[in-house]
Amino acid sequence: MAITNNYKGFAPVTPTELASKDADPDFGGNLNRSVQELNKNYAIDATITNSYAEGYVNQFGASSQYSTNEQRFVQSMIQESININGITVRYMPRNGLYTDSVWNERPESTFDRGLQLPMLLVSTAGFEGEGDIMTQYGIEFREEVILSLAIPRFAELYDAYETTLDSDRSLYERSRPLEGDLIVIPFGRTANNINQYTPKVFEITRVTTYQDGAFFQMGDNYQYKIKARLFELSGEDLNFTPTVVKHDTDGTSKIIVDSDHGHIYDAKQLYDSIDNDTGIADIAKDSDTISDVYADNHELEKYSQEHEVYDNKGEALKEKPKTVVSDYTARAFGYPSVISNLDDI
Amino acid sequence: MAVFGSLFNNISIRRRDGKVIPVPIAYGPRTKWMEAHKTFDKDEAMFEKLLPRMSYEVVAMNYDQMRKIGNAQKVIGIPGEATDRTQRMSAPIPYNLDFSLYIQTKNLNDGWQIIEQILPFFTPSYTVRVRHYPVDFDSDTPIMVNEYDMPFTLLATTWSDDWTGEVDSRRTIEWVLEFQTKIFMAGPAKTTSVIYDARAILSVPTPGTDVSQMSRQSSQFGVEVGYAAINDSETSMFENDSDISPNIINTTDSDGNVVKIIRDVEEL
Repeated sequence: MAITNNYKGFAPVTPTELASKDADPDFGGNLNRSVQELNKNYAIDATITNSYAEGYVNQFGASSQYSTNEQRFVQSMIQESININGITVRYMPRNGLYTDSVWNERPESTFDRGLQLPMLLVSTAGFEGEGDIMTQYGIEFREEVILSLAIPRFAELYDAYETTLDSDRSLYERSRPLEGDLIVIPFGRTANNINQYTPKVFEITRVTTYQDGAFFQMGDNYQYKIKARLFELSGEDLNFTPTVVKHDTDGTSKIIVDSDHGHIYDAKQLYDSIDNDTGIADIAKDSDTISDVYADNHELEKYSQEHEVYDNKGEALKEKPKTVVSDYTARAFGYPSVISNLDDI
Repeated sequence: MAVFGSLFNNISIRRRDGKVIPVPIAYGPRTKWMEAHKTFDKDEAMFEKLLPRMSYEVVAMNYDQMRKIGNAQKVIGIPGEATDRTQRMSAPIPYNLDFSLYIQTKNLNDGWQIIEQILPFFTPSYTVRVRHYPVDFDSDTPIMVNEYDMPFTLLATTWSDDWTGEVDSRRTIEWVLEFQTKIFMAGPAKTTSVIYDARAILSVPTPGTDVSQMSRQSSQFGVEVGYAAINDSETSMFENDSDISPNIINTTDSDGNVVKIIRDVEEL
């Protein structure tokens, strides 16, 4: 008996509408939502190989009890499950030419454009981590996620990505997702309440293949368990900037993050005060512009030296007080009496 | 508070790839609900936080008995302009303010770069000169421009780096620098009359009067031995008795008060 589906009053979203929801041309298409994409991924050649010969002898460890066929089957089920329930994220491999071998760190890291990967957001009830914490430096978003990625899918997509890198290939070679690499999750990119969500940049803190409760099932591990935490930006170059638009209630919208706006852009601008050839600070450039986009410290300086003062009626006084009148220590070190500008040093 | 922060607002980090990263500084304590707004600031919520970063706060305020002078002592105000009325205030109260400066970085190298931009300047104090009264609430009120030297003394430098533990746990690198500042808390300024003309007069009682019987009402004979005065253009005038030595003219006004006419100073 043939089963006939008969849906009435059901208007699926058209492909055009779906495409318009990806209001982020930099991010590309959505790997998971496109049925065509999904179908393409499962055009796997079915080569069934049974290998039960002498199954009662443990020749190759526990895995010899299971056939490759079963493992492939589980693997493809997991991959399909990730594709159906998962999200498309952008994976950005870390590149750092210089490693500080004294402090064992790599401050000058850049992140190339990367590639899209389908991953399953394992944490379904919200972010892991401590949440939003008030610290001495203001609010911190201590958000963590656990992501799941099919092992062969990573190899397949990443290998394809590597072939596009040409001469840079050696810088970005990966046989698995690496700790320190970035994952951009485009939260709310296709949501109806798009104004409520923000794409977030996560840094991988740990990658394992041993899953809780899924330890060498059928003799194999099938997915990477990726723990990631929101990235702390410290002047690194991200060569991919998701577009973030702020929609106001009056119907207007404003781009606040893209390749020309936001912290990722600001971090790139920090080069500007340095002459590329000599490596010396170019004081002809106004460092106020540089420092204010990233630090905004001049307000404090102004406040200490000549801040606006208001009288009893709330009107600003003409006179701006000068609190600091001299700076002995700066003078002793040969600097101008009161340092108010990076260029003075 | 702002002065303390302004000492550290020009610190930057230099990376090997040529980046100069200015280190933001802000007063740490803040209103929670204002900060919570950032949760929906899309550019803020993209990242956990931006580093490097510095903040500071006042952690203690103690009376400093070593610097206190007697209550009867007054501080005479230095007028901002020549035409200002002279002001005075009671001796200011000395206090020690303890600040903590927090520095958080992602990399150790960044942190040491910041530290090496701070420590050499504190020997162990960094001294600036500040005004007792930076401003008055009313522009019409003249303000005293008296200044004092305010040292910021670096008392301690500590850091913490929790690099051990689980591989995927958070690592925080943080320095804490403790400073002490010696400040004065100045009370209200009072306006006093201006003495434009001050003279020393040598005088003797009128003949036949016993000195012990004299009062402020008594007539005297004497000469002016000199005077100091200022005129409208702020120029001081000094004289001595060899130039001018007018006799004192004693007279009595209609109310019976003794009026001593010394000299008509035309300049005033």
